[in-house]
Amino acid sequence: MPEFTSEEKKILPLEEDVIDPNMRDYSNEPYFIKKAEEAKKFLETPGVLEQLKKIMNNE
Amino acid sequence: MNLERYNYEKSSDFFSYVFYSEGPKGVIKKIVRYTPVILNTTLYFNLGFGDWDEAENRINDLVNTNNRDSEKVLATIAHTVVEFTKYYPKAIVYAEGSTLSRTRLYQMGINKIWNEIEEKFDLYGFVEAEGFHPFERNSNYQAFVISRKNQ
Repeated sequence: MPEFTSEEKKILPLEEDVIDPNMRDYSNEPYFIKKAEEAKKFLETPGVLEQLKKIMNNE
Repeated sequence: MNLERYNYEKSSDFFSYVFYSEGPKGVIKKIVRYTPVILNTTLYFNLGFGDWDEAENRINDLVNTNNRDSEKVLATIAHTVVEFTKYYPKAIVYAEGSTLSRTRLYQMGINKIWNEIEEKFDLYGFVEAEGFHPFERNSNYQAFVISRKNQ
């Protein structure tokens, strides 16, 4: 498990945010699937992804 | 960054985060979920967020519960981005509100914490007919992409 820097710990008090190994599986939640499909459709719009990659690489 | 936020529970794979909003409307269960989206061999993650409707056993994304804690909720979502990308440092996260007003709310939240996160994150906003731009506080965006800076 990656270690958090002291700076990150200021905003991420790990001891208060617990892993729930029995958490319900939300990967099949229709809303999240629908939003991911909408995101995919948008990013697949001609030119969008290429433009995003270009601007990210220029940073 | 000392913004007040809710504590959350997280899934073992760090893709899902559950927290409880508390306010005049009572206790509302909220879910943040990072859903993988593969495009041209690059893995993106859609940031999904919504209220859990116990009666319907599903996310209700169009309800406006207005628990008078939007800043705290947004700070909580922001913390999940920090944590998620810590475990998945190469992740490119895409976020868009289910309505324009929600996207605007996301932007207001980003504006508040931008000074704290711009050192470690690259953030881009999408403007209709213009494409993605490096995030600027005074611009209005329809969607966002965020990733950790290469270190």
